[in-house]
This record gives sequence, structure tokens and C-alpha cells, in this order.
Amino acid sequence: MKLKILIISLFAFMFINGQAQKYITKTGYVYFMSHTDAIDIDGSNNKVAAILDVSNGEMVAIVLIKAFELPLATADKHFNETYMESDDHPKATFIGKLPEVTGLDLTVEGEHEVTAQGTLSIHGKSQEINQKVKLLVKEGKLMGNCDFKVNIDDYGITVPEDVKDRVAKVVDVKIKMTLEPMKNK
Amino acid sequence: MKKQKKKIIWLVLITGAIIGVAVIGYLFRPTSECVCNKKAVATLAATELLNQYETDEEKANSLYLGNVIAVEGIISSVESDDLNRAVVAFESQSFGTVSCTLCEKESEMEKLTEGTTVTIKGQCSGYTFDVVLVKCCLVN
Repeated sequence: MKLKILIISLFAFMFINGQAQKYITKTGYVYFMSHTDAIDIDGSNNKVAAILDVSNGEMVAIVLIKAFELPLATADKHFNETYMESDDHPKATFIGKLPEVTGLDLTVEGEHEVTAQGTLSIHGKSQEINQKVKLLVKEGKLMGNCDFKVNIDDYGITVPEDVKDRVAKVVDVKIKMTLEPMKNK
Repeated sequence: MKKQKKKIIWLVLITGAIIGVAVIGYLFRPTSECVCNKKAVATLAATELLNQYETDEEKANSLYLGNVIAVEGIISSVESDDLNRAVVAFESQSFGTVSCTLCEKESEMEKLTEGTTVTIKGQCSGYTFDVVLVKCCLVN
């Protein structure tokens, strides 16, 4: 419910003085890699939805777990049913801020390093995070890029004893998204 | 006697190899790409599906999440994703839409034009600002 209220508030006041205040994507990309000596398991999802209000830095990003694509059917089944339990926890979310964005002149092209501060929720468990994000301002768009690590224990993801050597405790995650100024429908 | 023993050993080896190949084939089979051959659990208008998700996401998830559903609506846009698959969005009254990513072999963009009414079958992945269907096939 909190997420819904936040999204509605982020959709309000799209323009101030004709200047875009909200930037949006529905096609953000997230990739994960679980590397172990026994096997590498990876998956990607290009349906990440995110909205950023550059007037106050508030941001919401939503990742649908069932929209991840894993190359192998067995890995896909275990990912959804055993580890992420996507029927019970269909989405992962980031709700927070990119505070430095408010101080940037987004009419000027250039690359910046900003911090994402907020709550990352995966598998129904939430953790506060503080993560560096590379932000490129180009052709009126904001291109965000960030790599980080997720410790699966922090999010209550358990791995059965017999396959423990095949799933990494710490999973590498990459996120790329291009946010465009939001238009009135 | 010796000949028979040899025969049995060969038989065991060949059977073992066949089972081995089958098990490896099963474990390493690729994820199925399309839901074309799967039966839809529900058929409804795209606007109705979006409305249900916007009204009560939890209830809509209990009905559709992970299931194959067929949606009918007017195409508002067709784009191609980074794997060159067609992504169809349906017309709607709200900011959100129903977004369907067609599987590779179905991605014949020329069949999909804005303004036409189509029915698309796909697996429901849930709701962001849009209802997202993946592994989709064009029904008609």
C-alpha cells in the first residue's frame, strides 16, 4: 500500500515551469550472476519500472521476479519456486532517494556519481542501502548504471543443504536504466 | 557364457549412457520461450485486466500471476526490445497499460500495427505501472 501511495504522489506534478520533473522507464535492465565453483547461474530482466522525481530526488523502482529470464529451465524453476518464492513475493522494490540529483543541472550533458539511499526489498525482506550510481545526462535522458552485491542471507533466501555449493551466498547484480522525461498522456 | 557376460555389460553401458544423456538433456534444457501451446486460464479485455490490477493488485495476482492469460485490446504502440522481440502495449484510459513481450518466433512486427484489435496470449509476470505479460503469442 505504501508503494502505491508513493507511486501516485510521484505521478503528480509532472512539470514545474515547463521543466520536466519526473523521469521514467518501463524497460530498465537488471542482471544477476551467482558464481560458484560448481556452476554459474545468471538471469536478466528488461522490464524494470522506475520513476525519479528530480525536484526532490525521490525514486521508486520495481522489478517483477517472474519477468526474469534464466537460460536453463531447471534453474528458472528453482529460482522462482525455491529461492525467490515469486508466487508469494512477486516483486523486488527500491524506495528511496538520489539526493544529489536535486543539485544537478540536467540541461547540461555530463556524467555524475550520485548516491542511492533507501530501502531495497527482496523476497519480502527489507534492507537499508547506500549505493553509488553512475548517472549520465545525455540527449535529455538520464542513464543510470550501478553494480552491487546482494547477500542472500540478508533477504531470507534459503538454499537447500544438498545444493548449497551451487548457489552463491553473495550474488552480483548489475542495473542499467534510461529514464526519459515523463509526458502527459 | 563369456559372450553372454560381454553382451550384458554392453547392454548396461548403453542403457546407462542413454539414461545419462536423457538426464543431462533434462537438467540443461533451455527455458521454454513461448506459451503458444498452453491453454489460457482466462480471456479478458486488456482494459479490464489493467483495471483489476489497479483496483486490487493482490486479488489480481491471486487470479493471474504466473498463469497464461489471453487479452484482447487495441494496440497503442509496438516497440522492439534489446533482443529484437516485439513489445506490444494496449490502449488504456490510465497511465499504465498491458505490456506484452512476444516470444522471438512470434515477433513479426509487420502483423502488429497501432490501432488494430488483437488477442495476445502470455504469461502474467505481475504489475509495475503496467501489467506485464511475457512469452507472448499472437492469437488473432
